[in-house]
Amino acid sequence: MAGAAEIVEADNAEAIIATIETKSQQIESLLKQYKHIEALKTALDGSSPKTLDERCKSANWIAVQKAIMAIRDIDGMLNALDAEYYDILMKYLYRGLSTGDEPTCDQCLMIHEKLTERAGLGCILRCLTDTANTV
Amino acid sequence: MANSLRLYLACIKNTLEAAMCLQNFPCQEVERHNKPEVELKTSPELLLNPVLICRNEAEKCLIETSINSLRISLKVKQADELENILTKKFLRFLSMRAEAFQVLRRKPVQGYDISFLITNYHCEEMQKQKLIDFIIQFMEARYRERNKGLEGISEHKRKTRCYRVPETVHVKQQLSKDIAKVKDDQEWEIIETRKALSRTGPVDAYKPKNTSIEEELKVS
Repeated sequence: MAGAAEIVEADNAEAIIATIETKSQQIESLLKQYKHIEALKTALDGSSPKTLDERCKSANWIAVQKAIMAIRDIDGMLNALDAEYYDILMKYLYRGLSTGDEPTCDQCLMIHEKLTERAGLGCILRCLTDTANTV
Repeated sequence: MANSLRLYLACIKNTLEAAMCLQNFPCQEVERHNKPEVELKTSPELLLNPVLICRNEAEKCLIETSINSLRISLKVKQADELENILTKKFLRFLSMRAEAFQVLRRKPVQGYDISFLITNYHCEEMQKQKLIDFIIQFMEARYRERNKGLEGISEHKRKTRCYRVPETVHVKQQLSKDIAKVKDDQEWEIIETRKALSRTGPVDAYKPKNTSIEEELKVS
């Protein structure tokens, strides 16, 4: 039973990586057109499928990181973002903070402060407790 | 620079406020035992996701939470050998007195400089906000002391190994210097008296009576 689930997972992983690649091309084109907010939404949209595969998670993370690093106006971005994206964004922020790379960490810290003001401590707590859907 | 420190500390503070929701939870495996689950990590359902907050490659903070305990591990930046030594001394000094701090862990987690362990009992005795403020102030004081120590050092002085040490280490060294000085003085005195004795012999050993001849003749 577990074996079958793993095989399904692998097939799915290939499919998911393919979708992620198309998504990242979309994101890059949006970034070139300076539509940062749409780029971030696209990046965060496709990242919720429940996948355990590390490659999918890394691929998702790379796409989201590109979108996050391109953002200059944090307040404007958070105004335009819907509340349902806050939790996923917070998870990706913590992933960014764990990388240790200075520009990423600076950007993530700035967004983290503003996002906590908006979303509150519950958002952080949901990130900590959600062991099933890690990013 | 100051802004990034402020953001880093704000991030840690918010994460701690969210993570510090601890309750009493007796051990599931052994009856009548009550252990901090974050240290043992035996049951995955009792642990939350650990969170690593980095400011840059050298400075990071790992926050691990469980149902009844929370562990915070800090790594501070050490620019060169000198700072490395000073930081190690200072933090060892604190870790040895961990009993007094209550929330301090005696040994830091592997890969970090200092660790705190907060359990539900601490949260019951002490206020949660004050615990968080304590940790943030600890980090701020660390940064301030480090900057103060570095301001007093010029490049030339560094090269010739003359340095101003952080205050607490300085006090300890001053104390041990005073003790050594007193010991030295006493030893010097002993050595000098011994030398004097070997030159002249005991000074009061021979006390001849001052009698005149007339007195001697009178008596007899």
